[in-house]
Amino acid sequence: MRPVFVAGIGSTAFGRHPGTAIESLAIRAADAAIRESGLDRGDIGALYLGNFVAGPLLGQEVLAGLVADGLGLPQIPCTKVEGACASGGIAFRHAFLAVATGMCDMALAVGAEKMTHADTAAVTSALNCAMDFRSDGVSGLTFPGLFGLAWRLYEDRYGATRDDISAVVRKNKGNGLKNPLAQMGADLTTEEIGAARLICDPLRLYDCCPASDGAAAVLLVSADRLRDIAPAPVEVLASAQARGSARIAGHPDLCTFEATVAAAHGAYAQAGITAEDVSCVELHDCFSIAEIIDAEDLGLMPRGAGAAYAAEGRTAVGGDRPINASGGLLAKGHPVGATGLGQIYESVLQLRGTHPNQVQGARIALTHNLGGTGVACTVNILRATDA
Amino acid sequence: MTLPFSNPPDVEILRCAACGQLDPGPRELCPTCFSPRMEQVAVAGRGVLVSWTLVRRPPSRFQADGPYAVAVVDLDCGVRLTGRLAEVPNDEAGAPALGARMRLSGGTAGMALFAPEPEDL
Repeated sequence: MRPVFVAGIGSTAFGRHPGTAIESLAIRAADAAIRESGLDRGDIGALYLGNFVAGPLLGQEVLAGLVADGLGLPQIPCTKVEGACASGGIAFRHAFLAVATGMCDMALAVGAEKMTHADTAAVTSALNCAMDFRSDGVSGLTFPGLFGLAWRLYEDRYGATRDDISAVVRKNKGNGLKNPLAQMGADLTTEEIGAARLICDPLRLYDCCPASDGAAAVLLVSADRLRDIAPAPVEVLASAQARGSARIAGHPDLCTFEATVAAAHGAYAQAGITAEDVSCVELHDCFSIAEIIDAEDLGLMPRGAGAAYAAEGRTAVGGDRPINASGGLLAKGHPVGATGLGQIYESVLQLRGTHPNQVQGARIALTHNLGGTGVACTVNILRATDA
Repeated sequence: MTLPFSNPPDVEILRCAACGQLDPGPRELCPTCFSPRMEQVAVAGRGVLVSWTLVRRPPSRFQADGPYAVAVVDLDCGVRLTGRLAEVPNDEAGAPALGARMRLSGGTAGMALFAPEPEDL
């Protein structure tokens, strides 16, 4: 394995893009990443595209080849990867491996999704393709439902209150106001959050991320390309992926995802760092309670302390454990296949020191992307270079 | 309807003929010893409520059922099942507490319905 660097990034805004094809979104983000790098697109050796629900919601597959065609790439291997909401993170990891192993010197990871044209029941159904339909899916369990189950158990075990968990929503919605790519930043009061309509008890409206359209892309290169690139390079210190149970019956505890714990363990070991060394985190807050569980699974805080960390401002941009300065999925949005790459995009801006909601002195960034019932997880660690 | 003094219906799960491991199924290979000899076995429909949630916005295929309460129950035999509460709670106070004793009260293929044990009502 050889060192891998981010040479360029691109992203559309996350939100509503009516009338814009998913291919257009993906090509816009990827073309921006290539142009930013200043490198020749004819030297790109592989493309990995993360997408989850273009099949059921758009009736369109082979997106990897369609996007490569639109970008004018050579006759390289173009592969769509799918791991539910972790599809983007998995695409990133494959591009990382393509460069790290020497298969090619430049690899492009793209994530794209288009969801807002469909109604809620159709979106819920499409996302529910990530349930195991021989077990939990039969009960009518949904993803809000999975986190509703987790919330109830978490509050029973640790005594976290509705208002404690609302602190996560306030923070992420507030962060979203500072991010021009975010779909729904907002300045919400604890009262507004606690009085919003119930979606899946105890989850209320603002506890849930929106459905979104959007795309993000990252161009990865080997060290020998660094002299040619325009932006300050960011090194990929680690890219780890792990699986967890596809069924609730297989999770010994609903307040933790073993895939996150395993991927984090692998990533920290690869990078040779601990959670203490991380400056800023973009993690998979598909629901408010998810941020708390994820942060604890990543070892960023003790078990049961996640809500208190948010309430005390420790996970704010100025805190000692900044989480989701972008607004996260809750405010930035969740175009599922693009989310993992959007997290990399945000983290690279942080490490370049040019993020619109900058964590001061950010040196090491971690991203966490979780799919399905915790069936797939990627954890990536990036470091600023002094070049 | 559950009768106070009757035994609840059994639950059909899987048992590995090679090592005895139980599993909610369906599963092709034993998760412990990887034997393909997973056989149907009936176990008592009694257990403990792990958690529940009220699905107010069902996906298309369950539209007609909504709202419904999904429940996770740990059966006394050690197997965890995802099913539903037989009665949808009107409010938090009307729901069984976490850790409450539950019993199977019916259901259809693959989906168990659970109700609180009568003594816990």
